[in-house]
Amino acid sequence: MIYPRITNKLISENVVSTLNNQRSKLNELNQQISTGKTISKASDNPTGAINILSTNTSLSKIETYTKNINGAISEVDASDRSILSLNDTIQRVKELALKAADATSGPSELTSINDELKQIIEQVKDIGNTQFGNKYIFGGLVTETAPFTKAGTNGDEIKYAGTPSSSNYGREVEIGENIKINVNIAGDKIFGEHYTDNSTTPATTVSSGIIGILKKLSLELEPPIVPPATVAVPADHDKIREKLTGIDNSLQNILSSQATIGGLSSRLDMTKNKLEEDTITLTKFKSTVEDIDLPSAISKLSFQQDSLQTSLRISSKVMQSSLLQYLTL
Amino acid sequence: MTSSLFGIYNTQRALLMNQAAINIVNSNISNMNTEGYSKQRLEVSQSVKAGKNSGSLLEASQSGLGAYIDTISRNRDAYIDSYYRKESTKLNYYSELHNNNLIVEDITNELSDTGVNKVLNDFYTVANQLSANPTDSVARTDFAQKAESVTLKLNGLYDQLNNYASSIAGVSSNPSTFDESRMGTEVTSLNTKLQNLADLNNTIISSSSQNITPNGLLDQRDKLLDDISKSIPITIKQTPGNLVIVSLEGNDLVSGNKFMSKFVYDNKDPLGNDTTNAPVLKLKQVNEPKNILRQNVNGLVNSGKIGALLDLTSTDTTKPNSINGILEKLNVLARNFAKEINDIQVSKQPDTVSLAIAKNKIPSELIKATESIFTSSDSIAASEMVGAIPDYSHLTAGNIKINSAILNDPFKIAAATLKLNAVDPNKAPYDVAKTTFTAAKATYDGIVGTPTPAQQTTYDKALSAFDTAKTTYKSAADTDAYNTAKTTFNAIATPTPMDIATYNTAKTTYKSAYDADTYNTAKTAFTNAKATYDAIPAPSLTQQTTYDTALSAFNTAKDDYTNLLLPNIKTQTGDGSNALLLSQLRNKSLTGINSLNGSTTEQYVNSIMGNFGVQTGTVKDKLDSQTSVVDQVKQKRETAIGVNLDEELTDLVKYQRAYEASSRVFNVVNQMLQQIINLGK
Repeated sequence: MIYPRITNKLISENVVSTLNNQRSKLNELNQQISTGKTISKASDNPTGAINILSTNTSLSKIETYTKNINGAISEVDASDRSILSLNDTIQRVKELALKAADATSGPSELTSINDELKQIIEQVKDIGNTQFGNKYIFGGLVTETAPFTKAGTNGDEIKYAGTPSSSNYGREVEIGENIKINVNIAGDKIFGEHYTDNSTTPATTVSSGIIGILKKLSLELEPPIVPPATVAVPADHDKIREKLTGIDNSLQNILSSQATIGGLSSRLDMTKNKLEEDTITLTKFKSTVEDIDLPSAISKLSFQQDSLQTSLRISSKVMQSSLLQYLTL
Repeated sequence: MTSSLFGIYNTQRALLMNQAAINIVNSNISNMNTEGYSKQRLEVSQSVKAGKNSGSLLEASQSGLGAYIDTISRNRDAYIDSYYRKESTKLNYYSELHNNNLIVEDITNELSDTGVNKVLNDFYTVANQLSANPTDSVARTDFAQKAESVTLKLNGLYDQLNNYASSIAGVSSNPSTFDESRMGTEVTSLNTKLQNLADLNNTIISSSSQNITPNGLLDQRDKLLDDISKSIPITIKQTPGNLVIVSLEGNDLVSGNKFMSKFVYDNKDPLGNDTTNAPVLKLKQVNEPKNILRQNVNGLVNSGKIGALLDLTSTDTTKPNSINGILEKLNVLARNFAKEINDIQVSKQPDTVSLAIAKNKIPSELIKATESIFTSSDSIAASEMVGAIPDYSHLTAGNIKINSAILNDPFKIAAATLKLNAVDPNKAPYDVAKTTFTAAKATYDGIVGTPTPAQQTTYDKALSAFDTAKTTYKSAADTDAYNTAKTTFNAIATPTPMDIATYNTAKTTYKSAYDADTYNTAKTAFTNAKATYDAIPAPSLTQQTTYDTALSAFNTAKDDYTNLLLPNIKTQTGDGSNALLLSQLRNKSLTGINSLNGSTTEQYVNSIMGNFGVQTGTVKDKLDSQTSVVDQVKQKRETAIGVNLDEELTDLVKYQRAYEASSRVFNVVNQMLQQIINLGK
């Protein structure tokens, strides 16, 4: 048997490289434990790193969608509240109209009803001009200026200046990858308008929605004096009664808008919950790839420490020993 | 008949020999930690005497003649040496690559919270915010700033990587930086080592006498060869007289005591003029410094430390370790991102017009968006980007910039869209122009072939090389004269000084042998590239005009129609549909030539960084395995050449005892002589 020559330099080089190796392992473990991550650079675990990167992308998308949804929910809630108060207002209108339709109501009573009705019309207009933040929510794409404006020679008519529901009025929000929803309802669809269009000859009256009905009712309650007549025609209870159907129809319309809004709101809530669940799943997945298993890492660390200590102790013995210790020349 | 001195010389020789042996032990012990020292051994032979002997039994049996020092040898194994050097070349290649990859990885780390993905994510998020609040000046400012962050991040990343690459290879446009670059200093130190090797060979020649080897010098030379092989892959050939020839793929660098060719790292053209190309490694003849032997040996130096540096700064962006490769990918990202965003901002779709807000009107109104979001700090790139057919090819991650007009007035960001597809009696002129244009475009697209970037690059390079060669090249007559002279010269077996002079005259007339070769090579390359390039169809002048007219008519009609519609919708400033399109770029897979290979912007960033991580990991694995290979070979070599203290001490005792014994023998012989001298008394 031939033994290889083991030279002293070889021993010392081996000692150095072994110690270096153990120290670098120790350092790696130390780094992992102190950062809590197994992967700090892509090369530590390329597949894991790619997983983390794509999970990060998904998470940041979810974060964006959640932000969008939160914004949308607030706006939809504001619409919901406005329509709710509109509904209350119309209930009051219905009471007034029933009272006015009653044949026993005399001119003075009709006048006082009409006074209240005029206030209500203003109130409906104000609801139509609800702002969320700086935005008018019922104006379609016109959000900077009030959608319901005063019109007519006396300023007692109301015109809708927002994007009409017949054209593209929706303000879209992305709530998921390529999933977009409208967060708004066009104001003319809920509130309608009533004004005299002077651009046509003869001038025509544009009247629609609840505002149209209320305005017409108001005109019935206190008919204007049409020249050459010098006195107003007395109010016609039958005609007033006819308006009740219109009010009911508008109420239906408002209710259906409310249902739309409600549906939108619950869809947003559901999507938000789904996104929250996704976040949890993805975060969990990311954690399994990225985060360190602390107990096992610490036990590895103490094992590594032990073996470094052992190496140091043994090395100091091996390096000292040579024939020199025993020779007396 | 034996000597009457009873072999007193034998004992003297023995004493001297043992003394020499102890000296060697001494030297071995002193050098036990010296790098490159190989343990020396005393080779001893028995003395013999040839020829007719006088008949004495001692002489006849060739005994009692003592011992003599044969030689002092080194414990070297040439095979292990060459194996070690080969493996060490590879080790240094991987270790250099790995060290650099770690730095690049640190720069491009996407796992931290500061990567490109972070700024892209912020950008898309604020685009969403903008689409929900298009009239909100905070949302708009935020968008402009986040768009700027994207450009700043890309600029920063590009500069960091580019500076790092420059620190290795120097700046191409500034040749004075080559010498101070990592490559420059490595090359200088390599040349010094090669020069030292030639000098050392020279000393070895003068120190060698017959059969005696200068061990110390050989050790030094072995160490030098170890050093050189760390930088480049070399072939070492032993020649008689203890000399070596060191060559790189058949190109002799050092032959015996002659330093044949040295390395040069520059971007000079064959005429010696500076260019703006990336510098390359060349081989230059040492004793005739103007004569470049090889214009480009980058391909030959494919390993070792210098090989690694060349790989890292390779202009071939498909090389996995090339820093330029990452830069190019960042450029592609910047180009695609800027183009997509700008196209949405200033709508390139036939039936849509992107609208910004004029804030100076009360109430504010929608107007046609004219400013692009991204531009370039490079004036050529910036002007190309806004042309009739926008060209983004000069936009890089380093020069992408946000348009300051957008930053100053974020209301110029187009958040709204005007659709031109509604049924409208006023639309007729627009529709007519559109039909004409669509037809013209279809015809045009059918004609125009776009050269691939590779074709374009090949063509450009060939053209520039050809131009250089042309300047160098004189006339056909000169070439012929030169070629004739060369043929004649080569045919002469032993040229006289006269022949050489004739040849040199021809050579001077014609510049140099190299030029003719360069010219011919460049011409062939250019001819081929031109043929490929010419094969790409181009539109005729008439066709081009037809197209241009249709395009301009279409743009006018579109503008007219837009201006007609705009007053009706100018108050609809709450429209965020175009901003939504901006945010939805996030989900768009970009396909096509020079595109993102069908990934979205974020996926592309992930793939750049992921792939580089894989590459770094691969290099690290190779480095680890190569380290253990080299460790083993090194150990094997060390067991042969190293000094073992036990062995030396044993030798010391051994020779000391032999010395003692020899002196005892001397005493005995001395006494015997005394006896003889006393005989006569």
